[in-house]
Amino acid sequence: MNGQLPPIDPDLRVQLARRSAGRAPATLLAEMARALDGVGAKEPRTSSRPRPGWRLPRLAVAGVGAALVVVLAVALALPALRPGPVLPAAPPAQGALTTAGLATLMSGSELPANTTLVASVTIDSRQDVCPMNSRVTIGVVEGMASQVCVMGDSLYPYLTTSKVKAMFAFRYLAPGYLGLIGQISPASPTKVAFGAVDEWPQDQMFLVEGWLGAVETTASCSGAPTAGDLLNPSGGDCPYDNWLGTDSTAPGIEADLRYDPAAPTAADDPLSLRGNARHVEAGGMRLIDSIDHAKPVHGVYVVGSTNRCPPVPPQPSMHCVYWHVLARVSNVGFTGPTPTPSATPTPTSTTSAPPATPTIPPSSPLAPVPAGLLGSGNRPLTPGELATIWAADPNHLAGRTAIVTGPVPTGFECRDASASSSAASPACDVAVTSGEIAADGYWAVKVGADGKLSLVGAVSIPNGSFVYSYDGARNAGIYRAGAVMVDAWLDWQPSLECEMPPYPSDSLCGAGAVTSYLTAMKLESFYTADSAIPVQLGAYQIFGSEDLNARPIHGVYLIRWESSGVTILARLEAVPGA
Amino acid sequence: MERELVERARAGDRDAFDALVRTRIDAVYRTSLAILGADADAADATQETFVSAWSHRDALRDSDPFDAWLGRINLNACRQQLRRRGRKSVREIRLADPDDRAEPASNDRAIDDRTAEADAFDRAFARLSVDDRAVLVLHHLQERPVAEIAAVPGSPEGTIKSRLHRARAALESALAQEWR
Repeated sequence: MNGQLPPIDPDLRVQLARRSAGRAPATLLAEMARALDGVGAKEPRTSSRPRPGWRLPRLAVAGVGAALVVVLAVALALPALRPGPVLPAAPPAQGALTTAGLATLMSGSELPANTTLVASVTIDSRQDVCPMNSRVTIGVVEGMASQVCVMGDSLYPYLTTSKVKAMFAFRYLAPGYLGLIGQISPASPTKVAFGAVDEWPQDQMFLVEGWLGAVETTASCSGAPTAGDLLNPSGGDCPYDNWLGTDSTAPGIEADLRYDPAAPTAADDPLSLRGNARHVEAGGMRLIDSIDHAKPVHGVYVVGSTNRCPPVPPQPSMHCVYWHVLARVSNVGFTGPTPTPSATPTPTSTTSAPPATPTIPPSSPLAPVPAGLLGSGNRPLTPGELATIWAADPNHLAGRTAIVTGPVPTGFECRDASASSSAASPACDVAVTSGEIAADGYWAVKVGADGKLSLVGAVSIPNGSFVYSYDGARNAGIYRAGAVMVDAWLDWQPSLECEMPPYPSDSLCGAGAVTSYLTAMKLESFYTADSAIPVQLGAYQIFGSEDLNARPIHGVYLIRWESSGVTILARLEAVPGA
Repeated sequence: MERELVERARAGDRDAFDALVRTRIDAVYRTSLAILGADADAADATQETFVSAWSHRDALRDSDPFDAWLGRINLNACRQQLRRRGRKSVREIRLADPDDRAEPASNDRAIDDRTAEADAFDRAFARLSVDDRAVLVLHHLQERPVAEIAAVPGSPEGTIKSRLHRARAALESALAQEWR
């Protein structure tokens, strides 16, 4: 909708003027000055100031240098950490995923939730796409086969320019979704990760290869540590004292247990090196990445500096600024075709393998969100139909979800639609990644650009049909049925404040943007839990910036009940002729 | 002069940044207050806005209009404030200020009506998303051009236009529910 701006509404103006009447409290300016003093990192007039600390370290790190989202694929240039799959070369930061590598990864099989990736990519700042109830949209990654959204935790506008190319650390949230941990500063033009005893940069986020260990102290703890936000985990880990070092032991850290607070020395600065290790905070990250304290764990870790002291009054950094471990880079590999920057063009034909680098030119518009595939009459595809569609246009299928009737044989063989029916096309062979698909049943499968057919889940169907009606789904208790196909309308509306009834669910509160619902039809101006099913859009995106008013959208939706609620996995469309 | 202040602040000059704060603190506070509706929340969001801006001043690019950049941070600070408040049950009641009234409070019933109307409006407004609240404030109260409004959330102008229509419709629906 691109009509004219609505005229100024005098009544609305009066009410808004009433709400905003007044001036900032007289004390606010002074309070803010003190807070700013506590933040100051580069004031030229404070050259004698001790080591700077950040009030919002992670956000600041993410913002410094401007915002970009770089997905740093984790397989750092550390062969010992990365056995097996070969990641694409990623100059200039060896080990980081390239755009092509990330595209391959994101269009392949679903990764475990919270997987940490490091990649050098370009983020296009967009706030008008990728609605997610619980996170703020930062932008989308350029050059992906299908849309890959970059989400943040909320406060900082990471991208201050329209596009930013850099190296970033991400958490994998869901298919098509990455959460931004922050921008990574490589150790050097040829090396991504710092060593544990290198000079670590302050006010930046970076990677460290080493051993993460912990020493249990006798400290009295007020409560168990909490994970904090996935993208900004909490730091404290009482009663443990974490360290990051070059070896599986850290005698210097052990010696610190004998620390005498009455006689501090220069070595008491918590940022300093203690022999072969440094003190770090890693409580939330340990919970998120399931790393217990029993023994040191080698890996590559995302590290930043954090300020544990309140911003006011100003005080020196000693015992305030700590190294903060935010994530352990996952040993992610992908077994699909490795992009080979060969000078010899790959011949293109209907018998060629799926493209190894499913990128689109950066200047291309975002690829339309692919709909999932069904057979005519809303029935699942047969394996033969899927094979035919695959052979006809592998690119068209990449990244899509299809509903297929099992058993799907492993070693699944495609046929070129233009060839004779008996001529198998070996180049269309598809690896089936789950033996379950070879059983009877109805399966939602994801077609990867890497030539893999992976299982999304079993699909439950109603008696006498393949697709539930909206009411039928509710009556059948879809919350216990796993993945189901529902004929319904998708609608959305502004999110409600948590303190204002009705309450769709706590997880949907806050964050602004919109809350999405599945409903039998557009019923009323505000949906409630009784009139509609609140849903997370998950990886499924249905609209671009100009389609927000084009609601509701009718369709057959593949949905699944998850711990966070009902998620839409795909909107399904019948394949003509299938 | 203004541009020079921004440049100096970006380079780390606190005096310059303080000067920018002094000329904008009331405007940022009023915008926050219109969006959030509570003095304490608005003060927190205002402080968060400037502290975050100072922390991330390196991210301000030469081509970025400072006020749009600050507005975006303020919008995020308001979002954050609402998220925090969403976990609390405390609600702040703003008392009507007699000075706000255009006419003497000689008629108790008229005052009651106005109070009820304002209360209903605030409840309805609270049902909107922060982004919807923001575009309504920026347009209907501050009368900013669409290009300036679009720069705050960083959205295309077309999106802002449609969001304005949608936010207005959502507010009317919420108001209708309040008066049922």
